[in-house]
Amino acid sequence: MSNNNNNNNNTKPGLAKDDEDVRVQSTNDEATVARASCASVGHIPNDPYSVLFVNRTKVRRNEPLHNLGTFYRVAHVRKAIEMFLMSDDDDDDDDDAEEEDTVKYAKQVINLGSGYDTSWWCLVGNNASSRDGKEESTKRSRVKWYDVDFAEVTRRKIKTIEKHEALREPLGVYHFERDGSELRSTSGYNLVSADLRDAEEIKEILTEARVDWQLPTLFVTEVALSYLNGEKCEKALRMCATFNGESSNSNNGSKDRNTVVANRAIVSYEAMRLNDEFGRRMCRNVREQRGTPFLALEEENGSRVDCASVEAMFLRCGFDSVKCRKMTECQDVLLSREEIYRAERLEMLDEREEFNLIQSHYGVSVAVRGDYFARKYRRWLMHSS
Amino acid sequence: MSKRFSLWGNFWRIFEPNSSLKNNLLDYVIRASKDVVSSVSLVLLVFLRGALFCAQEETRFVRVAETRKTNANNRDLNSISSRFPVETNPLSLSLFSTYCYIIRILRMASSSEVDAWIATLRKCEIIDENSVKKLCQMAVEILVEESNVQNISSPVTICGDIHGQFYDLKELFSVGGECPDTNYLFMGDFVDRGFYSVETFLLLLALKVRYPDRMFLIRGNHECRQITQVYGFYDECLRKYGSVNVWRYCTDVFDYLSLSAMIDGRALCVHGGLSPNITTIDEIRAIDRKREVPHEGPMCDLLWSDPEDIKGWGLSPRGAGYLFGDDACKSFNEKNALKLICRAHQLVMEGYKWMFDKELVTVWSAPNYCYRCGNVASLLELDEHFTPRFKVFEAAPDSNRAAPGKRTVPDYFL
Repeated sequence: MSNNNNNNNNTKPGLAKDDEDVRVQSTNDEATVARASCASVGHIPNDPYSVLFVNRTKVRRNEPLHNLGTFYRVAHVRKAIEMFLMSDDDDDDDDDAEEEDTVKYAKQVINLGSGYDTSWWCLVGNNASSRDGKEESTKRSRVKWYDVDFAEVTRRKIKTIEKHEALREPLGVYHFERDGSELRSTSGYNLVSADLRDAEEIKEILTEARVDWQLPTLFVTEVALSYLNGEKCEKALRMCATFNGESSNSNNGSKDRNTVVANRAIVSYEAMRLNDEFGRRMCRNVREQRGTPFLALEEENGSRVDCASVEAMFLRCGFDSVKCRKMTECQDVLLSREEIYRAERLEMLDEREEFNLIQSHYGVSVAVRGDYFARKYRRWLMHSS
Repeated sequence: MSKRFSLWGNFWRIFEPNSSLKNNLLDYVIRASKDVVSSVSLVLLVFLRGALFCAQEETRFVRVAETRKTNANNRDLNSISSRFPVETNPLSLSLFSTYCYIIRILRMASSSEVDAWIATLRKCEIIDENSVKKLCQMAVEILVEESNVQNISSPVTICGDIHGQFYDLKELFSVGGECPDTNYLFMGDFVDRGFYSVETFLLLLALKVRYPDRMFLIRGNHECRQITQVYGFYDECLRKYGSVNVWRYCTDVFDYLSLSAMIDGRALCVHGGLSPNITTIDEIRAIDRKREVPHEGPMCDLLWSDPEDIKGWGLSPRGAGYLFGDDACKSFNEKNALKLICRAHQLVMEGYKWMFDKELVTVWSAPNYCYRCGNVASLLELDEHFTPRFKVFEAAPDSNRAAPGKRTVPDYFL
């Protein structure tokens, strides 16, 4: 039903679903170029990996406004993940785990619609191989990580990984599954191919890929939910909040299970509509020029109108607590003043008005379920904006 | 002796096959043929022109050589200027203004070339590199004489940033009236960001050359070598012409653009805003503007500052210029007997914005800025009685614009 809706809404009638898929996937290329450009300018100091995914000899340099915006995007999401990965104050069983022979995973990150995102290499792979103290690195290596995207994207990602030593080496021993569209490695890094628009499919595939639904799990989305319509978006989020690995038939919410579900959280960087001229123009441009409509944003009274509606959606989907902030209002909640100061001075912005306009239409939300994450993200959830 | 020789050498230039001087001359001959008195003056003019051509070349190259002292790699310029004696000839200088007047008369008689350029540019097509060079030279001749504070009398239509949005500029002309039927003042930022910086700037420049008293251009913070290399104009020139020569010619013109305009002595128009280092209009007049926009100082501030709801002066988040509050603005207006400060420089979604009890107004003329902001634009008409009237307009409909080729600007975060 909703598939038909998608096609009807499109400017080109009868658009094949495959075409649409290709265009959605192509937004990944743009995000990759943006990240590479941003990293090459120096905004993301320890990310030599993004550049490897750009299929050119010379990285295109985006305008400063775009680089700075990308910095805020990447920095916020990665900082949120890092806060989760940082050793907990109160986990005593860590020491016992270290003595065991088999790796026992303590945490899990699932990046939905990851594209060529390199967060794992920057946050986990990097640490496992060198740098930090041994203790920290063992802890980091006990993170289970899933990057989820279309099979076409994961295939190409695998190709790039195989090509570059720097990307290959931290993975340890790895093998492929499902026609080479998926990757499993001993380092805990996994690539999984699935279509975000089908929550049922994702559940199955993730379970098949041995996602441990009992671990504290952090989901990440970076401009992925914006492409889903409201209904599919909520289905996906409900899965993030409450799915505990049981068969999808019995998913119709019994209260007992909700208490059983382990700690969950989601960090999501997505666009918002705000019902103003800029938001309307953004929907129109993305639909007409990219052919990949921000379906969630096009709904005038939908769940991506403003921060309040986004928060309401997360709560509806089963999260306990949530805070959505516009990028213009994040200030130093997650990032340190020094980081912001450094980034703002790297490239001179000739004007702030347009930057603020764009930034105000993007927001970072952190939604949590369970005490574990509520403690982790206390500052983000409490801090009044 | 050698001086006289070079003087005659230039005189004979009028007989070269493609000499614009010859065209001027022919035009003039046709017009004046029935008039004996004119014929006599024609002979005089020919001599004067020949002599003054030298004077003009001389002063221009001295000037250019000064501004380019650091830029020693420009060999072709140096070789030309070395042909002329560097010390200024007092006679030629004294006749300089007479010369300019005559040139204007001659130019009016021979505007067909400029008209052809304008016609081409209006179709959003570029003119060839040699024409650009010639146009820029002609523009410099006009701009060099303009004061830092251009005096303009009402009625005039004031426009803000355009940023290479050519089809929206055409929309502006259709809303505000075509030049020369309407007097226009453009407050800078013609280039960068949009897809058609070259066409936009050259069209405005050609109109300036064709109708110097009806079209006024002042400098914005984007009319500068450094900024254009980051925000698109440089790349666009390279893409459209295959070399950076056009960018060079245009940025050389930028150095001659005036910094501000005064309308009936009552409204000061400037791209950015005020400077803490400027308290009177005369201090603007005293600036030596023929240079790249500096990183600080009064000239930089005029092009970079922003009004803000603060008291006095503040640091600008742009990294150049200042923020100024209503007390700073009002005391400046009072001291200089101004009614209004008109400026552009900041995107306003509604097209214009009054501030400081209507003592300052921001005019923004780039609708749907960067093709993504969804804003409307405006132009400000000041009539003979100094009554301000805004005309708000939207971006040109898609049917009126050629589809831009391959996208080069990433729009949003995807």
